[in-house]
Amino acid sequence: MAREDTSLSLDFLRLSNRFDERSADFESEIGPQVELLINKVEELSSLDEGWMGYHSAAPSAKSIAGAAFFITKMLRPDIPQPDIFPCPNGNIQLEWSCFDIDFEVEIESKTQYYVAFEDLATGRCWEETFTYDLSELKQVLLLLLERQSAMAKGSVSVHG
Amino acid sequence: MAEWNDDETILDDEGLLRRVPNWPNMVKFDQNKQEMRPTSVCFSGKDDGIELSVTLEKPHCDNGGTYESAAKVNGFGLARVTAGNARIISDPAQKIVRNPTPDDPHHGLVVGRKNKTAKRKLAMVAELVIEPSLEEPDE
Repeated sequence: MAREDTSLSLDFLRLSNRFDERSADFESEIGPQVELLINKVEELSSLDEGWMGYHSAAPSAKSIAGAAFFITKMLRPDIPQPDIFPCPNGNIQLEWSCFDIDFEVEIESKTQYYVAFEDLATGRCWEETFTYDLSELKQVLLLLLERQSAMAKGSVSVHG
Repeated sequence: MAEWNDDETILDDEGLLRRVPNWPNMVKFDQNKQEMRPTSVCFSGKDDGIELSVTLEKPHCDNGGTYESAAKVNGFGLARVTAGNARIISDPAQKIVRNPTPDDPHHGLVVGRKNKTAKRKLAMVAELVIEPSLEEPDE
């Protein structure tokens, strides 16, 4: 099956984000960290069907564009970097396991996110699907940032 | 999904071994645990992990198998969770069954719907008994 070319959409995201930079309060700057993450997503587009055993799907063009969109719109250079993994259903997953937070965002497209969150410090745990309103995910990213800052000031201890 | 009954002869403290591909990278350093562990994606698969393939550690090792032979492919890693953890970690509880195949006489399945939280918890309790080699394969 022919693979959809995702390079144009990734380039478009890079370009449009440069125009957005000065007007947005949270939208990311395209710094080297964000560029690196987008490059990791782009690398995953080289995976073929069956990369994780039979029946595993190659990352879809929608999930690749969705992951790049999420990274450029939601991540700031000062937010801890996520790990990025392909899923056998063709989606792409971003994961954070730091500062007593375990946070996973599985991206199907720019408007479909399957998310699991656990705060190991408080025991708060939830799982939810998001579409257009990503404000709750933004709150988790801000919590990560807050914990990171507190850690740097030596006021909290990291789990483990 | 086929009807399966939990096999109680697979005891709670017995290990279930799940292969971890080495390309692309499927492990990460968990700063909360301060150790390497597989991503939760490793506990998904065809049918979204409803019938998750594993090798049953006890019969495999009792018959001369090793962790390396369970990993099968040179460079692949191997994650171990106990049957007890796999049973109780998600709602609905999972069933552990024997499911021998031509290429793995000690093949088993962890059967049941697994939401994201269940896969995440499996990944968090998994012990990486072999770390995958993270070298990109030659073209």
